[in-house]
Amino acid sequence: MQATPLPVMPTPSLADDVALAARGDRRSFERLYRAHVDKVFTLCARMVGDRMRAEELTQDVFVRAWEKLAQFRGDSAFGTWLHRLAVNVVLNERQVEKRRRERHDDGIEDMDALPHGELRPLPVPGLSIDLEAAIASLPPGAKKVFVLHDVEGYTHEEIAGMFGVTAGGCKAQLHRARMLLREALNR
Amino acid sequence: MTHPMITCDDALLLVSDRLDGTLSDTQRAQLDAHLAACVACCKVVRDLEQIHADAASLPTLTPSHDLWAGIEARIDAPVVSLKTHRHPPIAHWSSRQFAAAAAVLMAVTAGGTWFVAIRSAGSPTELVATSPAPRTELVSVASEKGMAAYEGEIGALRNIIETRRGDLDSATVAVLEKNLKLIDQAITESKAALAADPASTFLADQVSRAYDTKLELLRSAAMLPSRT
Repeated sequence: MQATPLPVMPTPSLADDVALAARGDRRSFERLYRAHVDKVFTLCARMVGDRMRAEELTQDVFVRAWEKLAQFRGDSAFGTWLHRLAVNVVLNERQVEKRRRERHDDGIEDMDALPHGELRPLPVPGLSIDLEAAIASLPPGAKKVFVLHDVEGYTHEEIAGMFGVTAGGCKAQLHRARMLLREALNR
Repeated sequence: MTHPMITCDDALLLVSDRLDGTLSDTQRAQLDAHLAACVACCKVVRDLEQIHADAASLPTLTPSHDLWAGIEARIDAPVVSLKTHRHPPIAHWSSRQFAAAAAVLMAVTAGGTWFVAIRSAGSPTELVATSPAPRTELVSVASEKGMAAYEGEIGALRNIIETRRGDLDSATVAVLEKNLKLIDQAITESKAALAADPASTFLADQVSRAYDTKLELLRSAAMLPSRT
């Protein structure tokens, strides 16, 4: 006697999960988390240069996404929306940190005044480092612009909009970041 | 056609534009002419092109551990921001205003769902609603059906408030949660007392009133105007 095959439950699509999660379905939101956590974490880690802080920020991003999901209209892909949300969380975190420390370490126009590698010690002279470590050693503003442009693929105009600066200022910061990276990698 | 020679500094400024693909024809010709005659700048260009290519192919990173548990915990117990806000006064209910509103609602709705215990010796306790309940069709909070009806409506109102949470004034939400906690505590204590003395119509009425108060508070919160 042939056994009756068990019915196969269809796997919810991404769009289904987004719609269900927006209505409060935790399991759907968990699936969205699992599908996107690495990309969000990667962005956070490279922008702040600190893996532990990046894990905290990644949690912040998904909590924020849960709170904001009902407002997601589907005008862009969910991944794009989440990525942009992550950028905003990281940039906002920097602003909060700036206010907390009462010093000027944000914005991309005033980065020249900052010591390099604020979040991580400078590489030891003469010791070669990889690109990941070199990026982490960049000044905060240069690092964020480099990651957003050269790694994540945002345009100068988009980045300028995020920071509230001109596209020209963004280009100058990117050029500086590239030259600093070359210098660090050639040590 | 010849192009004026540019300096090394000028050339390096153009290198980034070349990587971004935003050089004009004239600039490209100037840069190419310079690079044809400058070994040092050629080396810089090669390095930057390599960095540019490597950056675009960096691997995806993975957190050191699963972050979901922490996220889920925060979703389960959302933290209400109490930061300074600038919203219309209508959204700013003080604790006193909420308490007063709750008291008024309690008085208004007390007759909505009240109970008379009909008990006869040797027969199980049976509670019957004897007055119309305009907003609910609850029979008795002491019965499973009545309890489920209350909980169902409370759950539905909670969902509406959760959906609107982002639109509501955070201070108002904080006060709402605080008052709900107080009411829940009253419900818990009244139910415990009723369990110890099931024959008490007073305690049954207290449970009913507490549920009514909670429902009215949730209804009011669900209809609060959005912050602007």
